[in-house]
Amino acid sequence: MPVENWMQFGTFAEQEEFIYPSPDAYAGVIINGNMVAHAPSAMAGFLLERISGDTKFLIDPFTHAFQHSPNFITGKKGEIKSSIAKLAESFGSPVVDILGARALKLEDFGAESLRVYTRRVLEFQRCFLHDYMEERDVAKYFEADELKREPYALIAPYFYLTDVNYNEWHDISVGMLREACLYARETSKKVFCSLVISKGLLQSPELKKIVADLKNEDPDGFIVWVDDLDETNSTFSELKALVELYKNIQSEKRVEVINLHGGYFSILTGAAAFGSLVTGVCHGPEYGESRAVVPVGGGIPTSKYYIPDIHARVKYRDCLMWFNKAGWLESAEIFHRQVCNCKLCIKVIDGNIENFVKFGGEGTTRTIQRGKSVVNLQFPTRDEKINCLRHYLNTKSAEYRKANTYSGDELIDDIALSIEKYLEVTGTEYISHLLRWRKVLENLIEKN
Amino acid sequence: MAFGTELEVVGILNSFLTSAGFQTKEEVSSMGQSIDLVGKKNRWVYAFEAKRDNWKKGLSQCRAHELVADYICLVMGSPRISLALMKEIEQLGYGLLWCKPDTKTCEWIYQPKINKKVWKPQKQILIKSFKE
Repeated sequence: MPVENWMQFGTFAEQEEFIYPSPDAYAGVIINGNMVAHAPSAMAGFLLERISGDTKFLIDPFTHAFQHSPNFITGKKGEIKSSIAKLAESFGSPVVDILGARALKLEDFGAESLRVYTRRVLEFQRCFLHDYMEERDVAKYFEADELKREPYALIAPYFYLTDVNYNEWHDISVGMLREACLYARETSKKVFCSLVISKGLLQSPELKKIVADLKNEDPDGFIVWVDDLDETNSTFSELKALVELYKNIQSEKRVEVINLHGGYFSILTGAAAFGSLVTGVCHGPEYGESRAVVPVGGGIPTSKYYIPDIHARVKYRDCLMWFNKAGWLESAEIFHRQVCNCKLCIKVIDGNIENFVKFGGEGTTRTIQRGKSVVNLQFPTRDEKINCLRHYLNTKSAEYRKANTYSGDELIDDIALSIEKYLEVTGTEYISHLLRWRKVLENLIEKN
Repeated sequence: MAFGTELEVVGILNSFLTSAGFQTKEEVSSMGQSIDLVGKKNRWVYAFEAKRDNWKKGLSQCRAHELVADYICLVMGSPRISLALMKEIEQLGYGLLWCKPDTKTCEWIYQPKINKKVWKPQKQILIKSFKE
């Protein structure tokens, strides 16, 4: 099975990107449940009108949100975020009872409330949008069975497990998954288990038993999310542990596995040469190849260009420095040969290498307060954002194609060539992840 | 004796450069950063980064300016100039200006060498920001 390109829905402003570079670019879309609850009509429109009927979708019920301190779900003025409140309303007790007052506790669930809650979470995913789909103007063009689109699979309620709390939350997670699998059999739906874990638990020997217990419930697949694991910044042991996790999930019986926030390393683990350990890797439109479970926001946005050989987004000014140093900005032809020849880059450069500025060199200036000083800073223009985004999407598509067509040796040689090309340009620091990836993947080939 | 803020250093620098025939502009944005002061003399563009003490940070900020400025200068508003800094400056070919906190005057310690790493299209954008 080829490794599939999945993309996470972020905002409605990015809707058009789900058919870029082509309507069939993405096997599936993953949508957060609170977004569904918050804007159901617009979401129904997106699913019916923006993406093809062949594109799968999953609704992440976001149930871990209620497990954390209420600060996680409140806005700047301390009010509960309306999208979360609407989600809680759909899920009912116990989350709606404790919303905003405190985090969920195990004692909030009895046997019956666990069953009811699990079913409500699944029903939400399966049916919440149906009425809104029927209300859309385009509904008249759909056959009855096409109109009420349902997710490709339902995701059982889940919690964030760490090396410190897994003892507390694991059993109830298994219980919810068991109930979800019962529901799935009744409704002929697939059920996925969402495994959201800390880096500490990723590298803990306890994880093997946790996975075994979950697999024992016989879900059709797993969604994997390791808190804030950035594959371009991970240690050798973290990458090895990630591979071990995939292998454990795939042991005895093969299932679908989607990394919810993954990059090129995970894409490669989906290649047949490396054991087809994952069946899909999800990312956002230019972001989301790693994500913290409790997100830390803020910071000034800067233009970043995804360097195909490095498989990472790099600040425009660093790209400019490296490409200039390497002589790759001497002409459009050299740039396309050495850096990128995707259709977006060809269109933007348009035969004139000076146009590389359109990836982040122009910007729009705003004056902001910084402590006691006032500074003028450049923010990306709308065109720069779109250029960087679409170049990223083109490059990602190419990565999945590579993983699905190259042999293991070709994939490793490809990384080796990138290392050789960039070592003198950037120094080891910026490409050390390629060295780690190569080592882990070489070990995988030897074992296969 | 020390400067209270970097702004003070930049203010003195500005007066010094203006009297030396430079056109100047403070806080010029470039590629997501802000250059403390840009000076223009004839067709040459100078980037100045001012620091009261942390010269290493100043040098790292200067590096990004290699793409846009013909001459790059670190301006130190510290009571003394370290030998280690002078060695680095010489190696990098940057200029070094010393704004003395006690006398509130500026003095060239090293004149900058021409920077050959400029990428002209990006320099043109800086000049445009400078003129706005």
